[in-house]
Amino acid sequence: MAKTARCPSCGAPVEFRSVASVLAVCDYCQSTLLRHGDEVENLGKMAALIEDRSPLQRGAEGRWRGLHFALVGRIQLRYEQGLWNEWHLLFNDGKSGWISEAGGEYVLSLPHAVSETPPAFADLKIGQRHVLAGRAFTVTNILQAECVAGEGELPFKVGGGYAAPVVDLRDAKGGFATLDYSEDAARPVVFLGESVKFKSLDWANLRAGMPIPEITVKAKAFNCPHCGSPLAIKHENIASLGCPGCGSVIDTAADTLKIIGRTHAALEKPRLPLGSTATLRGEKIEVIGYMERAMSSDGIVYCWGEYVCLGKDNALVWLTEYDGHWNIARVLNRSVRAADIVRLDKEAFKHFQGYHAHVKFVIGEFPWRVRIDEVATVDDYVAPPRMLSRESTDNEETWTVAEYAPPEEIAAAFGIKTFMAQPSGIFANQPNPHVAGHRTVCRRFWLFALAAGAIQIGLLVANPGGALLKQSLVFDAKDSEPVLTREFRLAATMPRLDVANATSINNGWLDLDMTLVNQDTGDTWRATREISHYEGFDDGESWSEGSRSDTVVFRDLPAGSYLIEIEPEMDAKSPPLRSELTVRRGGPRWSSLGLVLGFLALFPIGTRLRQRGFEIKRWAESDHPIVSQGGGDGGEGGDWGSDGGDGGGGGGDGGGGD
Amino acid sequence: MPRVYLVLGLIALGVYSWAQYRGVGLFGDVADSNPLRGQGGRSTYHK
Repeated sequence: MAKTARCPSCGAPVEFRSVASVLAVCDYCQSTLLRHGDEVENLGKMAALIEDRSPLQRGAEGRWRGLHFALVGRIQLRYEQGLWNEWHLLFNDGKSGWISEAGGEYVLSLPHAVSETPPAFADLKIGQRHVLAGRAFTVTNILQAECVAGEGELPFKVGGGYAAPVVDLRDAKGGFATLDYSEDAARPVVFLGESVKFKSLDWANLRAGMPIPEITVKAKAFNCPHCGSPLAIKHENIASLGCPGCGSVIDTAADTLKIIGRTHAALEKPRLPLGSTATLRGEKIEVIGYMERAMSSDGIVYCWGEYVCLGKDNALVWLTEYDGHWNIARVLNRSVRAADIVRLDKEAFKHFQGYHAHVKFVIGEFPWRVRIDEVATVDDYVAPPRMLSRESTDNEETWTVAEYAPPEEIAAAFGIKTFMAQPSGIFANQPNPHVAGHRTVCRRFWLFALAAGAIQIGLLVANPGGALLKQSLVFDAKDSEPVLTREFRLAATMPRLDVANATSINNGWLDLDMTLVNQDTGDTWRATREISHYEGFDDGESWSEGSRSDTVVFRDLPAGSYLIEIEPEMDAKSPPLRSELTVRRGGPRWSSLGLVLGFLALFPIGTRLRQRGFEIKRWAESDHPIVSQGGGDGGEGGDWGSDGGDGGGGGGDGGGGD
Repeated sequence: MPRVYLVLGLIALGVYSWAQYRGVGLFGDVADSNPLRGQGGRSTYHK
């Protein structure tokens, strides 16, 4: 039940709606009132909040998991990268929680008692894994924040300048945890929650319905403090702005404009002008900022551009470009376990390269405080056409997932009709254009092989081949009569008939004048064969010449009863020669099947080699180049699995704040 | 490439089918002796 007290300074009513609220700020005179039972103590004036363009305000109401809540207080905090709000909310069941509002992301969390002992603040490092309430989390942010000011009801004592060391952790399912070390650097208060979409909370009484606060210089148009160029902030929650005239980075979150960095690099005009809009893959986006980043490898500096865009619900979308290769990237609101192969959404991403990236210059608006000298350690993992990037500094770790976009798609989305640079080389997560073709060729090969097998079996059944006649013959030089074979029958037209003689010739010759006779029609077919074989031993080496056997082919024979008349001719002194005569139907040959399959297999082999060649080029400049030693499967980096990528500048992710 | 492969594959299958039916082979093969076809007039055939 709400309790109302009177402000000791101005007498105005001050409401404590939540039993957890121990502090309230008087809306009229900004006195900070600490509750002691039914009494309140005036701690002095609360510092002024820094004007921002948050859509939230005290009194706004929402719904989360079916529970209605209202925003009853706020703390505004400052850290290295800018400002964020922590909204104190009161549920209908009397419980209180928090909504964190930072860089367009909203996280709802509730205080949670955990059985595990969280580590001390000094022991924490980015990327560490800790179990809280039985769930595994990874440290993603370590913040030495400071309270700027507060308003409304708050569950603890706070004021301007109060130190607020906090650590953010995320799990693999979008879960969120905060360790608040404000009260005790060794024993933090634990909050567990989740990242939520703004509109999913069914808001009412948002700030847009209230009178817009007075616009100040820092919120709109002003001149660059260094070069005087006219500048303007056109969007909400902008923490820094890069001057396109001189490269200065201006802190726009503070009450007074302050230059926080200036580049010495030459400024280049971005391909996509600031302020340009597009509908990209069904989402409307607007380019608000551009940064050029660089990394060096083997003494070569690689530069790439990153466009900060505002998408649906003011969520950040990144467009990155390197050598004509484009990617659409978004920050992942969950942590991923770093390893050589990272799994995300059942997809395996292989480590492509690691490097240190620094910012060369920035132009336009950024929702975090950009530092020109900031160096981040980046690791890119690829599963084309997607790429996962891990970017970490001493205090923060961010994962970004990107998807490759052809330049034509970007040009069409932004209505760019002038020439868009064609991609040069092969990018890390560029899709392999030969994969689909190879799959189709393989599919067709198996269909052809099946068809060839079916044809072979069909012909074997219809025309099985096999011997029609086997007979032993004797050829004697003294015998002048021709030799006649036994009869054999052809039941149907025979496309091919093989007549083979395997003789016992030894260092001699034998001519056979053969006549195949169709006894039904009287048709004849003649063939003359010369068979000779010689062998000997010369200078310790044996030699042979000719062949003892011979086969002749008769074609297109009609059905009927046949015999063969053979008139031999041989050396008069030659002893009688034996011959094993075989008449065989010419059936389908297995060698022909092997030949046609071998020919058909050349194509999938060719497409596989082409696919692999692309992968070899992709991985050539990565940390894991493919070494072709005749072994290893196609298209992999080093001893990896399937697709890989080519590096040269990284930049598949959105660098900097989330 | 897939279209070219489809066409060449169908041609290869066609040639293969014809060759198998005709008994035409490439490996380990024999010389066709061009047997002459004609009416026989030899009395020995009609023994």
